[in-house]
Amino acid sequence: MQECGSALLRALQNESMIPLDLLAREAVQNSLDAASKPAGSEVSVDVTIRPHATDVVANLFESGIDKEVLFRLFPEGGSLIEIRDKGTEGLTGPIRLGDVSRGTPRGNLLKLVYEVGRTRSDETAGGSWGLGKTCYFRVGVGLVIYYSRILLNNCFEERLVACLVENESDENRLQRDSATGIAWWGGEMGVPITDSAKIAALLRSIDVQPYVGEDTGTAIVIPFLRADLIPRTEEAASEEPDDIARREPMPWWYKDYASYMRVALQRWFCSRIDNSQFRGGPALVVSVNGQRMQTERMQPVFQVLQSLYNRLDPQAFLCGEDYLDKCGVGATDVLNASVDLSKVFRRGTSAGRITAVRLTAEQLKMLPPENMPDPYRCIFGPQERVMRDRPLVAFMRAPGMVIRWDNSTDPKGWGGRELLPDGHGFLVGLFVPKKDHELNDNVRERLRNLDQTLEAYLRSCERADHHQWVDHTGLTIVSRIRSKAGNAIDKFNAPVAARPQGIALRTARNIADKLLPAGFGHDGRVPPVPPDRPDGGYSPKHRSGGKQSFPELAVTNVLHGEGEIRISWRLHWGKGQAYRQILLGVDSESGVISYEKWTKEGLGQFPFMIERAAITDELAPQGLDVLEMNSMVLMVKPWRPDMDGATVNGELTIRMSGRLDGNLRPVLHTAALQEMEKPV
Amino acid sequence: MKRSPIPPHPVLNMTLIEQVEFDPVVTFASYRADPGARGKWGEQYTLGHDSDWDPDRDELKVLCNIDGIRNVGLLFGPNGVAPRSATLLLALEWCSSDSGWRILGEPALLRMPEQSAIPVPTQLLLTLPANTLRGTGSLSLQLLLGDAGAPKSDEKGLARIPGFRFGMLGSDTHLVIDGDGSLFPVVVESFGVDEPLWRFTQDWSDPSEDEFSTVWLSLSLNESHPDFPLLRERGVERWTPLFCQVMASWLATFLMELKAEPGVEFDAIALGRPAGAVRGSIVDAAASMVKRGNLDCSSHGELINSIQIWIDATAREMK
Repeated sequence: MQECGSALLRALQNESMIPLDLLAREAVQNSLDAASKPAGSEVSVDVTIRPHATDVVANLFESGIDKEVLFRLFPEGGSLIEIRDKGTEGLTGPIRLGDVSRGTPRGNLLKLVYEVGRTRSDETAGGSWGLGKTCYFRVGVGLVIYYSRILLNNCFEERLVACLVENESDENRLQRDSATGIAWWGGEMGVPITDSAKIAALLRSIDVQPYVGEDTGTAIVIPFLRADLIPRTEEAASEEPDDIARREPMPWWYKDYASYMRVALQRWFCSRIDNSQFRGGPALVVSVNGQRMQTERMQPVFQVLQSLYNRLDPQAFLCGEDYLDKCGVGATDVLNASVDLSKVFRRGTSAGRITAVRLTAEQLKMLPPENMPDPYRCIFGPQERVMRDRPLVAFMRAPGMVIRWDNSTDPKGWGGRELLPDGHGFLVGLFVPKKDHELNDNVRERLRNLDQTLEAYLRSCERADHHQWVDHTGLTIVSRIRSKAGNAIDKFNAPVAARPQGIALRTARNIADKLLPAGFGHDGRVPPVPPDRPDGGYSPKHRSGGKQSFPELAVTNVLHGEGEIRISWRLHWGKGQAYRQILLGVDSESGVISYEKWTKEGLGQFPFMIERAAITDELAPQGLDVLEMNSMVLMVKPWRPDMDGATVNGELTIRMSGRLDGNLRPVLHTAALQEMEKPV
Repeated sequence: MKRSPIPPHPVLNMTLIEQVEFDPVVTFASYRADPGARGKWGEQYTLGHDSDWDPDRDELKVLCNIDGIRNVGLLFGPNGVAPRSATLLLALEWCSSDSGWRILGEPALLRMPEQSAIPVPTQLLLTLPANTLRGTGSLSLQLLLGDAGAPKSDEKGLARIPGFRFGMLGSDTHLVIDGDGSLFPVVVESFGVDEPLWRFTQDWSDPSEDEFSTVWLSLSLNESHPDFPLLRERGVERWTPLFCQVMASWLATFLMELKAEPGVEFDAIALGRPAGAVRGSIVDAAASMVKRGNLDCSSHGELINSIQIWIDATAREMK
């Protein structure tokens, strides 16, 4: 069933990522995948890193381990990491493979502890390959202790088991009974211990707290951590004499594992940590050595990413000030665009949304007195020769783990092809796919899977370390998402970007004139065709013929006097017997500003008022009270049983405020008064 | 809702606009390249005809010469728009919501002529900087109040505040910067003397969607190559035999690359139909050229033959 230890230790496919980053990603992702169902309000992950004596751990094992090797390798003890989750279902399921029957789920215990190299099939899982957990064995000597409490048939059960995966050909290997380099310790035949009293004693010896009350979850304890889980300064710098890492001090989080873990967790899970607005599942509560991580204490770039995530769904984005608000970034300064692909989905074209924002060093608190490290250092550390003039674009699936922070120079990359203007700040972006979007039959057929969503496809495109999306052979879904996201970032980054210097416009125009019809470009030689009128015509401004249902007002003459305007008007009654209003407002580019709006917005005294008004039609009944007025409105009443199609002529005088600056224009418009509004 | 804005002071009305006669001669210029404008004042101008002018790189100067404005005197006095003692300003205005911009050029001053029968000559200039023009917009001659002077008792309703707009003299003119004009994706670069004369470059992700533009593919001409000058005849936009061969080879390469592209329905392209491709896309362009050139895509050999026939015939038409 199992491969050998050396093969498993090589299987992770990622030699470039810092081991503590790999560990943070894998452990937290496993916890999120095991979140209690139905989902609670939060999943907590507490990371503790502390020293331990060698004999404390060695004494856990009665036999089967070469204690002499342990004492030789760790004469003064070692360090252990305990990653403990809560609000998760724990290591559930059968405790031995023999208990698995057809159709019953294998459960978390077998999958995590005993099937170290087996891949997973759960679509909602953050992981996919099952090989990621091999990173647990790579950060120490290969020993991992699993402790879990689960709810089984309304009773709590505890489980504890240890597993070792080591290079079976290593001279310093810890166990020699197995030729594979893989072994388990627990009860009989390596199954987990379930006796709570025995478990309590073992936990006490390594200072791990038992789960109590209603709590369920899993604690993973990895003793004898290697000393090289984060790079030292000299490793971080390259051979280049001008390497920036040689000039700049190491970031503070490189001083110890706990500090590094704090930043690593932010780097990969910032959209979910302490975020009650997270949409893909329960919020993630994280602590390192007892110190709870809060959004406002995260590095600025990670707070920015969380804000971008929350703003992707404006309906879900609740009120409350986020980091971008505090920076003075307005809603219109944030890119939020759909990434559309044709012929991929059953319905619609949107593969997800790309969002981005430009920020200055000041907005990222890089200036005194805060002196926060720049985003590139927070993400890539000092060990990478970083392209600092490229956008930083993260992409993730529904569980909210950043798959990758991309700043590549690939012209079809996530950040597009444009460089950031020199010294003009930073651009941070995020792509989140539309997870439930179903792929069309053609794509499913190619995948030989009839139950594929975009989320499932992207998950299947991840390698064991979940650090990249790579399309299946013959498909271009990821590459098209990437290049279209990059295009959107380009347009946002440089909205008026010049065409490439080398373009030979005259030649380009003349060849196109000979070989192509219009429509293959946006050159100004041919006027654009309005989208709704393919014939290029313009819609008539006025309807002709037939009686209008609604009233219309025409100004037939204007006489200007000092501070006043005398207006002759004609009211086309339209249909119906409702009173007609003629309303006075102020003209503006965005429409009429009414008296009520003017007053409500505190614009001061309304600049116009109706002073006099009269109906001039000789046929109108002069004696009756047909016209009512106040300083803002004329009210014309119907005076015969059928007013349909009638015209009413009249005059009015508008008085202009003495302090009028000359550029405000009064505006008249008419409306039928609703029955309910008629004055009594 | 129809609304009737009413100017607070008299402005230009149809009667005045018809009586104040003038015949503007409008020309477009730019420092580096002639903008290649075609059209008519009062209607529409398009730009870029047989030209290297590039709105991203080149400014646009709009010059308006008016030999004489007749009946200027009608603008003044109680039946006009400004007091007799006023100074009016006449300026070219560019207004474009696509460019997010409205700007007035340097104004000419108009005063009440002593002899109203004498036309008033005027020259106006409006310079629109490079990389500011987008989409479409309108050019117009705007009349504004410079100074009200000393209004008489019969001029009380007339505007007095400097800058008051009386409106547009004549009709406005539509100017097209970005339209639907096609551009062939050709670029000139310097690869080096020993490098090829031309290259086919492609970087498309989905040719059914990606625009037929230099963003995704190009015919890159190497200006460092010794034969580069042979690609065009000096001073004449005519295809030389060498250029015809380059074009034919490029088109054959382009169509063969599309044929090899996964997901592209080349059979539809070969029939001259874009098969659901986005308008203006690479596939749409390929299908369009196959149809226009009557290209035979049945084999590589037939394709290159038919392309050469088409290109040669096109080049002959230009002579």
